[in-house]
Amino acid sequence: MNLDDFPIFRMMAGKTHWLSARQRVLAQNVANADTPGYRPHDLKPTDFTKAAGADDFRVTLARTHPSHVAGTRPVDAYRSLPERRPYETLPSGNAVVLEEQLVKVAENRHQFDLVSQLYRKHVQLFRIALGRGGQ
Amino acid sequence: MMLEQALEMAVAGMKAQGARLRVIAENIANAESLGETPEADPYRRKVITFKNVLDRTLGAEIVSVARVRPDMSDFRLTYEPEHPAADENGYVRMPNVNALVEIMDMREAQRSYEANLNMLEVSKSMLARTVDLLR
Repeated sequence: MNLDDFPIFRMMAGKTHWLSARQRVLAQNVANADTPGYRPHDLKPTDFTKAAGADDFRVTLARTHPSHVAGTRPVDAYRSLPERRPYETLPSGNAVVLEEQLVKVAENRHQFDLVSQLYRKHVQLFRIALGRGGQ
Repeated sequence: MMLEQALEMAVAGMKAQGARLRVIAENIANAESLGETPEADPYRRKVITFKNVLDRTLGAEIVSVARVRPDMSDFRLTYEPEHPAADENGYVRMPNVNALVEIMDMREAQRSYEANLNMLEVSKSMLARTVDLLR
């Protein structure tokens, strides 16, 4: 029995990964709050309920021989898109609104907390089944 | 890996804002620095710009200081005939530093710095949360 066999755990792992990638993009936005010409990026939200039913979470380029070229895009790439309609743009071209970014960070953090708590609860369920009393 | 990258980006942002504060401090400190003779230029205000640089060890772009260049706007003139640096009409050229502009810039740098610090705290706590799952 492998935890990866359960869709719920795969889904949670995928969601955690997506949230970490989003945190990275948001950190990049905040760090570039004063760079001229910078537009804030954000990740496209992925539909996890669909992916939970799927057998394999991510599609990779199959390599049947060691000398085959591996896919140029990394396996766990999420598409980070620049904001098409920013709230305001400075004369320098910078369009990062700090308040917006920090709200997104807070939202990210809450989702991350939720997923990690869910994970812990599920593992506890397994432990009850194993007879260790939820410890 | 993503969260570590988020940490690195936040740190790069903090360093960039620190450099910006250094330039502002230099401008404010030299707001009255004049030359000794009418031919010598007074202190010329400095301006900092940021850019994104690919960090190879990290594999992502982080913000860094592009250039610190002088501000080529005109010097102010004040009427002081007794001053050694006065020209034949009695006018002395003063540095093109406006204290109000510098203070506002400093406030903005402080706000960006705090946003980056916030980002650092959140990413760090998300990582700690993940490690906590082991318990």
